[in-house]
Amino acid sequence: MRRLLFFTGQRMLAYHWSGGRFRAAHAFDADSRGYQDFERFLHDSPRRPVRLMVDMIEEGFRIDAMPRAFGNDRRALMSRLLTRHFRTTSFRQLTVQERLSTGRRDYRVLVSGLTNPELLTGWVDIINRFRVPLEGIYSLPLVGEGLLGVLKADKHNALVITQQSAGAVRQSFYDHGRLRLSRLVPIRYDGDEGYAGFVDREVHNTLRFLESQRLLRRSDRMHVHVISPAEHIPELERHLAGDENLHYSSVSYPLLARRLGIRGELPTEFADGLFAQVLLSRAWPRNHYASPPLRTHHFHRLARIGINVASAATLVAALGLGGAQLIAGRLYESYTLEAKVEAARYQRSYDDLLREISVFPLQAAYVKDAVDMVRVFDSTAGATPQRLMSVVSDVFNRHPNITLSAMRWLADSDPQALPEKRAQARGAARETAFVAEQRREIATLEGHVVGFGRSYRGAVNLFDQFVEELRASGWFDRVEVRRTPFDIDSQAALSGNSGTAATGPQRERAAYELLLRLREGGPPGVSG
Amino acid sequence: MREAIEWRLLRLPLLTLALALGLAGALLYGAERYEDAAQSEYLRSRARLHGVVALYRTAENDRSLYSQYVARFEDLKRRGVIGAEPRLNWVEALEQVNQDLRLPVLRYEIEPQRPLKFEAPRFDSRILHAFRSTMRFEAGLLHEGDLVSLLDELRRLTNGRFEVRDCEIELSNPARGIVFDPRTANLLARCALDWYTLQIEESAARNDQAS
Repeated sequence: MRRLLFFTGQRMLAYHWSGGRFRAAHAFDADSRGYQDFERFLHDSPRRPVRLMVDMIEEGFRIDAMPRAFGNDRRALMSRLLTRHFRTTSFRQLTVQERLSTGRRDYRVLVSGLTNPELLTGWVDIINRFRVPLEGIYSLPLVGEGLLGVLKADKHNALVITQQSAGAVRQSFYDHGRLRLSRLVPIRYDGDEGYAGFVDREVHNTLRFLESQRLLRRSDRMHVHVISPAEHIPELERHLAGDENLHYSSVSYPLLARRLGIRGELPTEFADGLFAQVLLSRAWPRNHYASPPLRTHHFHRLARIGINVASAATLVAALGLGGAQLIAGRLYESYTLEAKVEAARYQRSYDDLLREISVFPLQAAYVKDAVDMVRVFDSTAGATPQRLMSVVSDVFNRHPNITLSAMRWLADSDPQALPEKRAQARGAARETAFVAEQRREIATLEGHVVGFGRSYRGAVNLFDQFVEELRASGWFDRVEVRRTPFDIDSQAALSGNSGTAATGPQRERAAYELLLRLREGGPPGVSG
Repeated sequence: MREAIEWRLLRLPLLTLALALGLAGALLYGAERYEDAAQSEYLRSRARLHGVVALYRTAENDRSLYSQYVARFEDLKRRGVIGAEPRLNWVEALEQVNQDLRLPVLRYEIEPQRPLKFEAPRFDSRILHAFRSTMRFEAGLLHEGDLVSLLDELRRLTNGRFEVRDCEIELSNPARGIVFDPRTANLLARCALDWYTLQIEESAARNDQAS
């Protein structure tokens, strides 16, 4: 529910308004009785804030220019302009409208003020005395800028004609949506002229005045919007004929009220309800004439509201945050319970396992390591001379002229190890490291080539065939002849006895020595 | 607006604000303490849960290891591979083998046991100690098959872990040739065997959970 006070210079009207609907309306005359009634009204009704709209003849409007400035300079300029135009009243305001397009590009400003402040002072004093929050004092013509949109008059020169009381008509000139001038004219016409003729006459007076004030050029088009009760519209349309630069349109109160969203009846028979709707529909209308001291109760009210909102917001925020923390805490408690239940379950299982494994005296890891270590022994240290002897004996069986008198065999991780070196090392300090690598079987064979008669070449051939078969068997990756039956190398000494008296084993035996190394994994294509 | 503020008009709202701030502060403080306490308790419970789960997993792993290895381990202990070196078993085995093979010559000696450095980093040498004892024997053989039989029987009787390092086999009397007399050795074999044993530092390897 909002409250509007409307002062016409003679009377104070009070409206209650809510959601586009005007409710109770009261009128108070500007006399002692009226003031008493007004005091009672303020005392009886709730201490809601009020907006005070004025529509007075004693309101002046001036268009001026103000240089571009900022901060204190700007405030000083504005103060100077206000003082220049309206020195004797505190009910004054300055509105910066737009920048001029020529010269220094100063600002065009509208300066307005109530030239007879005493008319209003008494009412304002009562408002202050009853500590009613005064949101602002608003000029009706300036509020009228809000009508231009619904009149579709905000894009051109518009002269809006309205009547807020029985005795006067207001003419407000708007230039592309901004108020330039407004005047309240007493209604005076005779029966012959009629209301329409009066309006037409006053419109032309106003046009001439605007031209004299250089607010309008003769060639400029003007659109006149006459806002009137519905019953006057036919007469107005009949009698108001414009010309090429002057166009009239008449708009009825009901039509405009619908466009403005007014529900129900207007509070009075005049147009003030339309302006009131524009003013009351805005959440934060710009104040025109109320100085800060007059609005102190309004500011205090805002401060109270702000502080209360801050208190509520603080509590809500605390409830929200605290609530979130409480919820988080409850969740943690829930998770804790789950963790404890789970831990207890695992503990039981662990206790059962413990009973089962505690019978073993040694840690499982070391039991495993011991077994694995033995496996390493088994996998790497299983060689015996049997395999090599078996392979070699097969070959020997096919070469009866080749005999074996000694074999030295060893198994070693070093493929270059030699049996004779192992024999020499016997008795010396042994290495003390176990090498977990596969052993290579290496052997030296010593023997003789026999039954070759006197044919040295035959002995060599027999031996070569034997060696060749060893190599071809695929079992050995190293077959080295260390000593041939007859050393026929050019670098070696060669001796013999082929005399007829020479007989015996010397002529029938030739020694040889071989070094063999078993191929890892056996011959290709044959497993182990 | 530079007008004086009438504080008395704002007294009640300011008191309300102060009260609201106090209540909000107390609520937030209490809620934060509550949440912190609940969170701490949760973290403790979760840490304990993780600890118990880790213990359980370890015990479960140990049980699995025991089921896989303990039977083999006990078997190796019985056979003398793990534990004190069973030299007497080796000697008795040799004697038994020769009773079966009736070799004309069988002489042997066993060198003192030496610690063996096992070059496998994955085994903890502080707990598991490997040893090697070298046995050398000299055997008179009728034929080379006797050597194979001797080694096979020795392995079978002892179930021990030995490695044949080297062997020399030569005709005992090259001039004489092969003689088919069980009392005459045709070949002389000299071999070296390395016997491996394992000992565990039981005090360090003890199962602390053992009853």
